[in-house]
Amino acid sequence: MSSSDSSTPAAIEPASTTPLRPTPSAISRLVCGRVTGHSPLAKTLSHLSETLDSLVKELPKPFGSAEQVHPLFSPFLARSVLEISCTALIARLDPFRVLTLAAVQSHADYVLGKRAAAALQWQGDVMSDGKDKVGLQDRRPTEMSRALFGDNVEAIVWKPAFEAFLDTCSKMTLGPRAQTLQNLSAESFLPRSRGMASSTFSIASKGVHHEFVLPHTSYYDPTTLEVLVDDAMHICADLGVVANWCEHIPFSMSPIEALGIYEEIL
Amino acid sequence: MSRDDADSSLVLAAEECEPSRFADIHKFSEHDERIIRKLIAHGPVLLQGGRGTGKSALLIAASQRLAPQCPGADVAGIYVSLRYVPLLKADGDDYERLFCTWVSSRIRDALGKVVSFDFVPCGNATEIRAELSRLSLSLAKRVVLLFDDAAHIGRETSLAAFFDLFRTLSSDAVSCKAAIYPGVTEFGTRFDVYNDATVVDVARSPEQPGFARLFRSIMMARFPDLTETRFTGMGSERFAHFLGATVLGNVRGFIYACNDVVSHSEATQSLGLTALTGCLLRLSADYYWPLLEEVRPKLGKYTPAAVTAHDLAELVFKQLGHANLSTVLIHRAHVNRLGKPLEILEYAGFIARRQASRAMKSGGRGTLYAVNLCNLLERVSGNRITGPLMDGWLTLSPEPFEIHERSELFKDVRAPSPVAGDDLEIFDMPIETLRTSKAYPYGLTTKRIDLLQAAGYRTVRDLADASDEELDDVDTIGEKYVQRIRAVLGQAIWM
Repeated sequence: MSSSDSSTPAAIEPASTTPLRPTPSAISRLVCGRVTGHSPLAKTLSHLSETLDSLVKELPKPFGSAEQVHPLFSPFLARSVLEISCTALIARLDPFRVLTLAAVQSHADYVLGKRAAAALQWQGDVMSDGKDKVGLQDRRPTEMSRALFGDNVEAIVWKPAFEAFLDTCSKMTLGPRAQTLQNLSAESFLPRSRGMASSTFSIASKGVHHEFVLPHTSYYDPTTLEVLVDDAMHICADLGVVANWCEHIPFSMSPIEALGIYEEIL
Repeated sequence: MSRDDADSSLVLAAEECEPSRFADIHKFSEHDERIIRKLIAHGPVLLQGGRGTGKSALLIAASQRLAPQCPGADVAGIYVSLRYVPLLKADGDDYERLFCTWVSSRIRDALGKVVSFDFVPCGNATEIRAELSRLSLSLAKRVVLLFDDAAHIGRETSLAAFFDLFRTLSSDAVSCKAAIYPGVTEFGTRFDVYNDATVVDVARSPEQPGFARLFRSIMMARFPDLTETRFTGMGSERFAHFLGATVLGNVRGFIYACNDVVSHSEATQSLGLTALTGCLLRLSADYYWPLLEEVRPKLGKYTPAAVTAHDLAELVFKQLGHANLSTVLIHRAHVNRLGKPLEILEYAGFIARRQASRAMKSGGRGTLYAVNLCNLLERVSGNRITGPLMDGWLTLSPEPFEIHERSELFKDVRAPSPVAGDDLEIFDMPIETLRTSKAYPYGLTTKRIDLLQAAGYRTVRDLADASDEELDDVDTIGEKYVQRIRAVLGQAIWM
């Protein structure tokens, strides 16, 4: 993992500019970064990037190639995009968490039929389990929440990254999506993203778990599914682009490259 | 065009538009279409924007794409305006009872002739929730409730009750959507704005792609006689782009501006920089400054903030006029201290927030605002639009005017304290307040005011409390004029 004293990610140059595979999707490049080299983290992120690309391909246009939203599969795709993007961001912000999981999964004792205690959890690793509601003083590291959307990560990663993002943006001519983010304060960026991610995950999960005992078209009308996919993509894009301004994140890009990719996601 | 005729052709507020004309004169950008989809989709949404930004139009457009208005739609949608005076005065249980009674009556009206479902009048949240669920099952469709005018800056005590109901009514079968103002921050203790809803901003900025195209299409839809040959020195799209930027992307301000241009030029007269100059100066004097006066008496406990807002506007526009800049970066200490007056200026279209937080050259962070160009032109040397000035104003300046933490400019501006009580001053004002004026360009005529006074109507409250039938009984006041009274009252009382 690289770290830098520079104030903008523009100064961070990758050791090698040869990508592991050609043209990942825009969302994949944003959340996984510019993956280079052959480190365990690079391999993990490349895998996540490829999986994400396979999912995005199945999404309806303009994101993927499907002609229309599919009521049975779209919730699965939306939730998967959200989960894999969050995993990729956790991997870049907290590599230990994902590399230990990779170690567990590559161990001979790892069996598919049994739940792994180290598995990433939506509640705990992505959303806070409430451990961060109390101050960090007098807390052991194991008691500190490291959830992606938790208050601790917000204070340490998201707020400073978002302010740095805003400062870069104020010197550039931006596209419409970045302009929307510019109207948010550093205090509201993560709560807004967290709320949207939570709601998108819940709506999608109902379709993944097949909770409905009534015809799913009553709940998953085409517009709801379109918005579900749209929201999932945009939440991940927002997080992915802002993460690029976190000073210690690996595989970051230049601001111009990151913002350009961000605007590719319609 | 006489004032009596004018309001029938110039529809400034979407909620006053005839449904049959709505689609002809309301135009939407790709971004707007995305918002409309969010209003139709599952999940609670708060639509946030200042006065005239087009919130009502978006809500109505969504309702028109849903059943029963669009019979083949997968989802049912009902537009409910909460412009109901008793709601403004109520709180807690009273609010819940009135809200449920009003909303169930609106739903009954909307379903009325087209759907055979007897929506039982409800008096509390449990009843209306059950009734909505029954409606959803009966139609085999999800129901979307689109609440307009849900929040009033001057009357915040009812907001907690409203957001409680918004949360309670939202379910898998019922999706609630509501229009609110940027200054609405009181959501009560049970409602978490980020967890219980998605907030969607309807602000439009000239830098957005499609801005010029959208405003041109609005101009041409409203004023079809404006042919391309009338525009000199610039095409109709650039003309509309600049006029849209002038009013900070505010649709209502833009329509008012277009109407001003048309009504102050002969049918064959060319439209260019001279016409724009005249229009902007008139808008400043006849639209924006009077708007602050119109807003003041409906701000409740924040009435003193309107005076501070006026002072702030004078100071800021004077400085920007000297510097010939159209953006101002205000240190967050001032933004926090003068939050309410700045919200009022934002609401009235004097300023629009462009960047919530930006590093200042002088240290610290501030909020970047763009200012409306009508009031700015008043303060620019020569008061005349030139080509270079136009180009400069259409570009978001990289170096805004900065008002730093220790700025002398805001040294004497005191943060106003809210006054006790939160009744709206407008209710106790005499009905002469609603006379046709700069603040109320489509207000009441002297003759009608005399007739209303003779019939015993003294205050705005008297008029607001009267039923349509009671007003109709007043000599020479018919159904059409009752609608006009309602429209003026709507402007006077509601945000």
